[in-house]
Amino acid sequence: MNRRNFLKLIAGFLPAVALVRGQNAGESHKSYVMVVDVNKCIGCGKCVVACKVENDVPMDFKLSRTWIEGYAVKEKIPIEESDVKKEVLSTSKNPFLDKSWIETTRGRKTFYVPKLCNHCANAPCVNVCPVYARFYTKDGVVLLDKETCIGCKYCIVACPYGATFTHPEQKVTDKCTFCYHRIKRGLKPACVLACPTGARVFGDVNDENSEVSRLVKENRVAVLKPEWGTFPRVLYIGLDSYVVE
Amino acid sequence: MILGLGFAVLVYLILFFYVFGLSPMVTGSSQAKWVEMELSLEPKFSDTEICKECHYQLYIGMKNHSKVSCEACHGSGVEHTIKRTSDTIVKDRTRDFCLNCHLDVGGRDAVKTVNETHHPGIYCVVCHDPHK
Repeated sequence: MNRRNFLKLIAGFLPAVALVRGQNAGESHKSYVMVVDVNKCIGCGKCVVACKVENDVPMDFKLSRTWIEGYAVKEKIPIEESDVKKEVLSTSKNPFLDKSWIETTRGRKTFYVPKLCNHCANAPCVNVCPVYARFYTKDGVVLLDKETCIGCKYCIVACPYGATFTHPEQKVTDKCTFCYHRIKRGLKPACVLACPTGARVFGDVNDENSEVSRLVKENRVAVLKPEWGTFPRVLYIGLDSYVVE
Repeated sequence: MILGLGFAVLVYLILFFYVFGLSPMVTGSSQAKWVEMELSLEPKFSDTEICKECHYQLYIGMKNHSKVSCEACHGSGVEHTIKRTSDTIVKDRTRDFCLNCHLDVGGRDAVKTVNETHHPGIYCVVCHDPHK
């Protein structure tokens, strides 16, 4: 094959490649986002229990796909470590109902921050996975292929939010999937459904009429650890980012 | 020596093409398979719209808890929608169950709260109907 024929062959391929790429670009995909209103969260733990029931995570296991962090802050600029008291709810037992926590919150500004996998648009766990077990779906959800996962725990080290953990029975890593099997059936994720105050709202931001679009438009939203450049899909309203790690 | 070198190069090339071009992880076929597996999981929580079909009177009479999903208090309901027996759903009438949300803990501005001095030891449902 001389050079002329080779170039002709390449030129023949180019329109085909352009056609395929054009088809992909023309498809409009959903862009799922969760908006969490910190002012509305009361720390009841219904979301944690619902998530564990829906996704087969052991109830007594200290780690969870979603958990609630309670912060009790002295009403001044927190300088010392003792100014901020922190408690974590991750099982069916609620530590926020204990007498010790109630006494801690007296005279302090208290708020509860629900946390889960942030489904980052630039996810560190996807970047470090050596066997390509973590991947993005077309609608932006970060999923974990448990058959390919070898349990090396690189993702646990890489995740700045601590949202991934080793499942005690399956011995591979586990994380929130935004209840992918539910949202594709048109249902809400289990934690959103179980939230009694409507602190968690889930939906498609590409849809102009959805509630998340309205919330993002009307409120100032913040993300956790923006300095990591992960571009999370979990947005917080009323987040005290001075205190929350 | 040439045979050995050729064999080494062959092994290297096969490994190279498998790891970076042909393995199911790179081509994404294992990921597509996993998405299908994820979609085949059955939900355990249903929806208020489905509860409404049988319990319509309770649904329209609700005022204070009208924005709360049924399964927030009653637990996962898919089994109940199939068997339709009272033992497949959570019906907790105890005081502790109500106080899980309504106890006077700091930071609960979104709900009405009571503390332990409010008729201690008596079940809340004696006076307050949660479905009204």
